[in-house]
Amino acid sequence: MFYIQVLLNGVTAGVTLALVSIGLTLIFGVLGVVNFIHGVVFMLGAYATIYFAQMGGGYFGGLIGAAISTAVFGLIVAYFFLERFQGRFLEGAVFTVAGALFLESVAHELFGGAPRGIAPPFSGVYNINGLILNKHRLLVLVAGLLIVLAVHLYVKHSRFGRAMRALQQDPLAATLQGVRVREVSVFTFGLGSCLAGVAGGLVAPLQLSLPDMGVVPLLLAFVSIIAGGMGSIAGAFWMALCVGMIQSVVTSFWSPQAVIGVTFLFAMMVLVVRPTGLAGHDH
Amino acid sequence: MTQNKLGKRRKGVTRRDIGLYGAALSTTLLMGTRNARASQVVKFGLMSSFTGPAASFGEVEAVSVEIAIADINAAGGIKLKDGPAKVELIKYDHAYDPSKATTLARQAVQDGVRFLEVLGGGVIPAVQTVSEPAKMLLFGQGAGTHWLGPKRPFTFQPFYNIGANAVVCLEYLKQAKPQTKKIALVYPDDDMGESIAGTVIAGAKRFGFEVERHFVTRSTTDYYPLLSSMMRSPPDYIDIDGMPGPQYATLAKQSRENGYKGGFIFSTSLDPNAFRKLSASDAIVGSLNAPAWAEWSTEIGKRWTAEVDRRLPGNRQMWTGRSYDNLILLKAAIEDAGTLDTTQIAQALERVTVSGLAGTVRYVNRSIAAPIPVGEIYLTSNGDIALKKVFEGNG
Repeated sequence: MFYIQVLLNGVTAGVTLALVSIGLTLIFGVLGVVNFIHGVVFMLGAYATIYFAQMGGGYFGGLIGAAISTAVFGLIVAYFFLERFQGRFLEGAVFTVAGALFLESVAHELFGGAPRGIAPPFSGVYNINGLILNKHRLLVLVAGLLIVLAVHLYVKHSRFGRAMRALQQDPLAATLQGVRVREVSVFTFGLGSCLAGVAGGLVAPLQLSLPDMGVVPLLLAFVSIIAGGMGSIAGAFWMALCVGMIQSVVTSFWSPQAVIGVTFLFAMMVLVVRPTGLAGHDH
Repeated sequence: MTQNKLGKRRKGVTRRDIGLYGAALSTTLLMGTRNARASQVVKFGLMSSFTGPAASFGEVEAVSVEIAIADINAAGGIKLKDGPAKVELIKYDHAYDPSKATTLARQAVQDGVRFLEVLGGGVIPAVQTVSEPAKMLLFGQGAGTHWLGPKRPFTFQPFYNIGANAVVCLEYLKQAKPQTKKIALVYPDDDMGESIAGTVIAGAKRFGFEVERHFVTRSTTDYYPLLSSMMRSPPDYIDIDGMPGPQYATLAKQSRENGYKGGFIFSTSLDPNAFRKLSASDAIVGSLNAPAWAEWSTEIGKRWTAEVDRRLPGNRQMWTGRSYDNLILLKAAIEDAGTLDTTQIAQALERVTVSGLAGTVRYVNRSIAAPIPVGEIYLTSNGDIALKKVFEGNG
């Protein structure tokens, strides 16, 4: 039972990270921008969930509110700012670093430095012969998997998804084929932000929220998308699961102190074997 | 030698010259006096966490410091040889970030701050890189003892010693709950955590307890993997120390979710708000907390309590009383030294004794010496976290 628990802990952590990572890799794939604002959007999702819930929407109302508001936030940022950095790797990165620091400062002013919390919609745990299943973590697991699947199907089979992939593979050819670059880019940023916001909203009941809560998820998401293959949804997903599993296995069998080191060592090994990442391609 | 309007030089001093020199001298003297008066301000810096994971500590710490400064200034300030000096407070927000704290410490030096109280055992060493060379007296409201010692002669610890508090709790368990066998320690993975662990492991061995220790990063929010491992052979008590309130509240809550039935030891100040926001107050009923300062019995302590309750309803944190006592001790030490030279004041701090909130207070080996009460946690009828004193020791 202990081994199943370790597996479950790892998958739950991995799926939450996958939501953040997939949004990040989508944005990079289509806009070619390394988006450091993504961690801030994760934090905004958590705060938005708490605020909308307190306004009477309940947890699920809060989560929907967070999804919509972070998507709108992403659309605005992309429309007015980031779209002009399309393909400008360094300039885009500098802009998003500055933007992330600025937004985090604004969050400190708006939300205050004291931690905020929200009660989970389903509190307590199922204890099945010693296997601990936290109800909210189960919700995070199921919701996360469903969202990842939905995004995967959308990107693979919808017309807009095909446009996103075309833009990712060859922007010039996609433009010549009639893909509306600006619309697709802005929409992709909105979708990626929405995923980060939902991830923040899903973890909000599991921890106390602070303005800098997005820093560590962003760092781990970068590991996932780089080792998973920049721009690859499948790569980001599987690598996020690997990172979650490493966290669980190393902590349970060795020491929490070793987690970061082992995670980066694993990512380095993946990149040594496949420099383009797990599912990445040379362009 | 002077020069007349025609430009001819003539020897001697005229009455006009005497008048001019006199006026200049008077102006200089007046300005000097004015400057001397203006310098009669002792700048006391408070570098704390007003934002970030320990933000709930900064505000309450500031209130205690403000009360002490108001009391000192109302009583005429600090008596120096050339007249009384008022105490002026300057606040710095390090947000529990060591690199930010180092920058702010440099700023404090530039601001003319000679006395600086700093929150956080994980942050204090970063500030010391600036405060010690600048001979600025640093008062550390933080855990661990790794930042104290003869190599840091300008650093004092008004905060209690977390390791010593934990050892007093273990002493209580040995006497009152002899069935206790195993203690798990969960500390931050830094010098402070190592320092506390060293003290507590030595104490646990003295009392014959089996000990397992775990170090976690300060950014940890998911303790399930750690707890899954710990619950294979559950401890009787988990000692959680050296972390901000949200972190230990999360750990306590997730411990219960993972089926942990034992108690917790909090050898530090409890942050009731963190438990309240996580709906985790129930999780720590029956656990131990030291120092369990439920209330002060002295007159000055009662007055402090009333003022804190007025300014921070429902959020009184007794550890901040040490900030008050420290300022009263500092005032006595400056008056004893008769100078603002920090080397002499540091020596005087080891000599003076004052009446503090809990009674007589003094520094011994740069730490405030006082008995450590242990309290058992219970919930009031309103669901608020409260303490019942069950033991007292010296660690």
